[in-house]
Amino acid sequence: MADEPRASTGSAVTEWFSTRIGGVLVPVAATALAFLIGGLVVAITGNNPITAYKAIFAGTGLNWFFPWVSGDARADAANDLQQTLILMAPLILTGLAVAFAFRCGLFNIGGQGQYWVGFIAALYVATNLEGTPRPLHVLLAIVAAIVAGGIWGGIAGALKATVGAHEVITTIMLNWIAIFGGTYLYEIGGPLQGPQESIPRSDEVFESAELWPIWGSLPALHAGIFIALFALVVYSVILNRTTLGFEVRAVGFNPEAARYSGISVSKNYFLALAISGAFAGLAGGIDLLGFKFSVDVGDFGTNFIAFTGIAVALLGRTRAVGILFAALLFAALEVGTSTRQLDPEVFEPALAVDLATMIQALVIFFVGAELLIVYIWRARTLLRPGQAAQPELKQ
Amino acid sequence: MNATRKLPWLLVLLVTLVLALVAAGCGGDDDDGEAGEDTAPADTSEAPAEPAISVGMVSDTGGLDDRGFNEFSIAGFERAQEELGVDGRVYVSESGDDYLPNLTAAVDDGHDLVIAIGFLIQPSVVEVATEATDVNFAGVDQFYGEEPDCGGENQSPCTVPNVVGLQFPSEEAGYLAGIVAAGVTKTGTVSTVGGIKIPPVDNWIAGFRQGVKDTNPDIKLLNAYSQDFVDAAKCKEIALDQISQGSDVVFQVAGQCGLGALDAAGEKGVYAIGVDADQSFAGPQVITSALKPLELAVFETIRSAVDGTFQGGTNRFFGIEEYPDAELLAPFTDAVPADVQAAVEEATQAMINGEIDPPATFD
Repeated sequence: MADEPRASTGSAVTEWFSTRIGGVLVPVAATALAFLIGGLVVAITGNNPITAYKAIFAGTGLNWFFPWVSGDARADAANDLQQTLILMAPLILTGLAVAFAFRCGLFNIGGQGQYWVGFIAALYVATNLEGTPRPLHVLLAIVAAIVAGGIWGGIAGALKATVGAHEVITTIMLNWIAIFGGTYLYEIGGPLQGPQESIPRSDEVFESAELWPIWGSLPALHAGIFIALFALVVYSVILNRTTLGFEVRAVGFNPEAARYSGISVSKNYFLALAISGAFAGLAGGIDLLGFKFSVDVGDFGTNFIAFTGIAVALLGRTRAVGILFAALLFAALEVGTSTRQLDPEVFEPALAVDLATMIQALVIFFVGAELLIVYIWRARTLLRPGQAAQPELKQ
Repeated sequence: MNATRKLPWLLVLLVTLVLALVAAGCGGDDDDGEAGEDTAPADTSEAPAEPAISVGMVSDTGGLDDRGFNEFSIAGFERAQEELGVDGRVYVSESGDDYLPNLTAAVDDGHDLVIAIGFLIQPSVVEVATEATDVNFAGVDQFYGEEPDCGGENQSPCTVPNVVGLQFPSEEAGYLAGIVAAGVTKTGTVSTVGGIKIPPVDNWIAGFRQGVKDTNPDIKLLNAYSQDFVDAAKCKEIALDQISQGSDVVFQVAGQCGLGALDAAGEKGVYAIGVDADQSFAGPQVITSALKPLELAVFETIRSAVDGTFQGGTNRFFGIEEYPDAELLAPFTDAVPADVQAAVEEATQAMINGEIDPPATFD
């Protein structure tokens, strides 16, 4: 990608470093640093960080992949891994929702609203149309989620494209509209409240609309993970192999240059946010059809999956493979630090919950600081006499 | 371009490396990794005596340090740990998504009794309890109807043989709080800030409104819901709005969110009434708090399981009728005049005698 300007002529080592530093080393270093500082905080609270991290790792279920884990431990690991993968699917999608807009130079903070709108649309389809055969019902509900999420993102895109309203402001406001709108729909006396009149909860989706469980139970890992993996491929293909993707990236690099070369900037702003919204809406759809099956109004205020998606996109550097691993990391972190995994003897439950949030914040912080590292590196090479004089003509 | 093409693969490699390092950090891998889980039972066997039973507490959203609902339910568990020698652990639910996996984990960890805190967790309790029939469950703020037949998902609440619902007629304490509010208001307007509109919240508010009306029918009542039990900013905003409409006594029924309402009252120099537990820590504006015997209920439930008198398939009530000695209001501050305190005392007696029966719902 051309977004990593090559350091001038320099040696092979310099070149290697300057291209890699922004690519892979820094996200990994940021993660490592975040864990290191997280470990220091654990130590300050009077716990042993190594024991704590071991326990967190055991709680993620990733030890399932080790062939020597057997018996009960293996069953536990399988259980935990299911949780991690259930969470990973929507994290990939909300990560893509941020990443796609990001490649167009837009910051989509509206993933949460798009997630809920997709969720609600899928819920509406999945609680109606009784008697639709299963694959079709699932498909209809998922399409509804994608379309609804796309419209929600598209609103912000249209506002940006037509009147230049900043997408950060509009997407945040659209989040609240979705959250309060959803609360209104399912609260006691709300128009779509479920059968129990004293409970602010929606109807349960028909079985014909549920995604197929593939592993475990209560809650089982569902087929949504494949949809999320497929979305990664779609994302990569759209961006790298289509005219649309080329235009989106061109606008992202430099809107003025893109406009000058005949690309409609406003059209791409709209499309980028609509496609972003579609990814986030899909996340809501598969969460609903995969393991939630209904919603109660308490969920609207306590779900922050799309905000974690921002961290996923940034850490994954908006590349498909990066997002895959970043989503796995954050899902594992969240599951591994949840109090059901972490032994209270090892780490106090009240602290454990905050540790995950803290590590996430640190990761974002260091990924942000990455740019600083890159700038310092470049400044250093530019200051070297003789090299600064040769600009980046060589490609 | 060639170099950048390789980046994803390098990333794969490096992440694998990091994971491998983490795994290596797990020392003797399997043995040590599992040692973490094994130490729990090992440690407890070193505890003073053989633990009576093991209890899993599954919290509701809103945090363990909400100075109310979760915290004081868990206080009952902590008391049982000290006095009854039970053992166990707490599972924190950060969102509704945690209910089911937390309950499943509590069952898998081999607890004899699982106590689920909160109204909204009930469907998950039904789902898990019908599978794990050899484990006893108790649900704080949950009501299990009269019918044993669940009749599929989302039907009216049904009886599950191994689950007991713990019910609190909060309208009683709410009623007394209403008398206090009516007694101290100067503007003639008082207000309530609810969390999510569910029966355990509305019980308080219904009692409060009746208490105000019975004392002085001319007082204006405001009520609004934050639709959230977590975010204090939302409740603060609602309370500020109510205060600007003239309310000078704010009664919060919104868990951690409601602490924001208490703050709002403090900032604007009006009175506030806390909920669930004594919330006078929030400041002198909190003239009293309407109490819910959460600690008692959880402790009693654990004790019944230790005694072997635990009975599922029913509901237990923790009201003035069953526990006339339980405190309904936290100690008053000086802002509550003696005649109001006397009126509260009188109403308490009337409720014990059955002369007053505050409504559990309102329009």
